[in-house]
Amino acid sequence: MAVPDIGNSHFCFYNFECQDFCLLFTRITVEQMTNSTVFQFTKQNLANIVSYKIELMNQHKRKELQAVKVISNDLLTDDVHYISVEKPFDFKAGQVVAIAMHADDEPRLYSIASGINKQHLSILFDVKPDGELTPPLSLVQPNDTVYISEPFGKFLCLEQPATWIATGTGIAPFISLVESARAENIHLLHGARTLDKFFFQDYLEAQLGHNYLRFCTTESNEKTIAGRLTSYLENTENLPTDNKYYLCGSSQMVIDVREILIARGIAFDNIIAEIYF
Amino acid sequence: MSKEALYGKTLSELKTCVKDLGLPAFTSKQIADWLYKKHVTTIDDMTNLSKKARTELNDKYEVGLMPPQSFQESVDGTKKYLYQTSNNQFIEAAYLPEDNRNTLCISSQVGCKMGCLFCMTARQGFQKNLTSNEILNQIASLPERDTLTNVVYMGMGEPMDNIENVLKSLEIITAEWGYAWSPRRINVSTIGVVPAMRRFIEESEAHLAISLHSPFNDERKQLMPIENVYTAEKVIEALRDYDFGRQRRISFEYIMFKGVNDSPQHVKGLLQLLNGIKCRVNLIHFHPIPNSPLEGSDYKTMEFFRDKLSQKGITTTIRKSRGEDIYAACGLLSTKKLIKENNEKDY
Ligand SMILES: Cc1cc2nc3c(=O)[nH]c(=O)nc-3n(C[C@H](O)[C@H](O)[C@H](O)COP(=O)(O)OP(=O)(O)OC[C@H]3O[C@@H](n4cnc5c(N)ncnc54)[C@H](O)[C@@H]3O)c2cc1C
Ligand code: SF4
Repeated sequence: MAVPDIGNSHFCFYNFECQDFCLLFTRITVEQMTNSTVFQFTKQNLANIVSYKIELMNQHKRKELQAVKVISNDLLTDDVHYISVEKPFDFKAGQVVAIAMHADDEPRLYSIASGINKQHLSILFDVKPDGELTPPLSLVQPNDTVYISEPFGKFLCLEQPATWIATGTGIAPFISLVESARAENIHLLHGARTLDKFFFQDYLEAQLGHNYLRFCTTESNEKTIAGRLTSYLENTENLPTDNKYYLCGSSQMVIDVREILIARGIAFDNIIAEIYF
Repeated sequence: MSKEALYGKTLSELKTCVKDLGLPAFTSKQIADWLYKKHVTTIDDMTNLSKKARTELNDKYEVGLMPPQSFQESVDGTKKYLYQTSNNQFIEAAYLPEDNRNTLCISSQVGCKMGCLFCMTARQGFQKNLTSNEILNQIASLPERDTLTNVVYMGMGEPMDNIENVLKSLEIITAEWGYAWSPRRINVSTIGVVPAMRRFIEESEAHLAISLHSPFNDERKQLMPIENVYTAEKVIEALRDYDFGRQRRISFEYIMFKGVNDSPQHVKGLLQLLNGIKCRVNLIHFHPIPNSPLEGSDYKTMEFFRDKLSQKGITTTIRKSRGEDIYAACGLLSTKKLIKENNEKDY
């Protein structure tokens, strides 16, 4: 990237090389530049420096994100989407990717919700009506472009026997783990408010059978347990004390469930959580 | 209808306000002066503004400072102030007087989403991000304001999870038109939310304190869920991208838990992880919180740990425990005044 023309400004006095000067400005706000009494710039000089500064920052983001084509966008309930995109890299089940609509946007994080051997990479997300990313992301069509980072993260749920606990879209990494044949000795507990929020339940039921428990707080049917997942954890007599517990979902769920598990005698070092902050 | 607060606005925001009201451009600088240098509490106190300007400002704005609701004082002089925020919630700020420095530990969020196992704030869940007004009000409305020498963002909340407002408040504290403090009087803590931490490093000059608490991935995960997303290793890798110069300080906070993270292997692990980073380490005694599975290491173990790290060239201190009787350790602040909306939960 070419360094900007900063004219014959006062800075020459300080013997800065142009490049150093611009790097220095990655640390100084536009406001401070505008009001500086030490450095005096013309409007054009300043505009050049500001755009250079922004470009430097964006370069960093761009380095991390790559363009991929959208393969499909399925609406699972009124506000939850399952989007598949081209898979430009391998990943480990349980990892996350950062996603953005444009290369320079601030990306958001999503658990990968598809198996490691699937042709495409998928995510599961709910739309936050005032959110920056999820409303436009919910509208993408096949062949549109979105930007994703390389996979990262360490919520790999390697140890078994284990109890996996999720609420809402927090089921995503566990779908990836089941699809990656990593669910031999596990129980999966999923909590949701309504019956339509047990995403991929037919698949999970087929794979896990009785080891898959659904807790619904506002509705019930023969396949779900009416009531709270937390009440179950407080009262069940079948709570293995030596299992690893892997929790995924909102911060409040993780806090509440962890507190119950610890009160019921589970060692804190057997509890690992991924929080969708 | 409640009025918008002027306190907490940057100079460029104040410029927009005065422009929208059709007032002369220089009024913004005058307002900044009244707010951040003279700390006036009403618009009518801004006596060098024309009567017309004050009337127009009063129609839409207020200064927006709120005194603390209550305070508790510890036997060691530490004072814990409770401030009310919008939505009738509460945050805490701890004033820590010492021989030649007086530090204020301020909050950046009501509650926190990060779920650290050892933290009381985590237990209350997340309620909201503080505005720059609410962040700065903790300083501006403090009875000891004029005696302050340092501010640390180590109270309730993860500052990097509210990066916009934190950066705005830092700009106001350090700008010539603001408090005009040196950024070296400010220390901002993080558990290592890497993208926001990068922004903080690039857009501010304040010191950075990283809460580490274990050098090992498997163990840090048990204490801090963030380790699943941004590992300590990734945080350090990100730090290596920057030149912090001679003045700017990076420190690592390390709460010592008995039998968990206080062994000689941990010293080795830390040395390996921090290799080549110019930094200091602060060892912190753990204040036990109710129903916690963790206990604090004893002081002998802490001294051993400090000596081992120091011998290897890492400046290491044991942070003095302050205000234990009123429960005011930074990062362990708590507020009991909470409502849990149980019926909203999906689990
Ligand atoms: C490790 C990790 C994994 C995740 N995985 C998933 C996943 O698999 N599926 C999933 O659905 N989500 C996941 N998330 C959450 C996800 O990253 C996003 O936070 C979420 O999708 C919202 O993004 P958004 O851009 O639409 O909303 P944002 O713009 O980030 O806003 C989030 C919320 O805050 C509110 N808000 C925005 N700005 C303000 C403001 N200034 N003041 C007050 N409120 C405001 C919005 O109304 C919205 O409700 C994960 C998060 C993490 C950290
Ligand atoms: S230690 Fe800090 S980041 Fe962790 S939960 Fe407490 S306030 Fe949040």
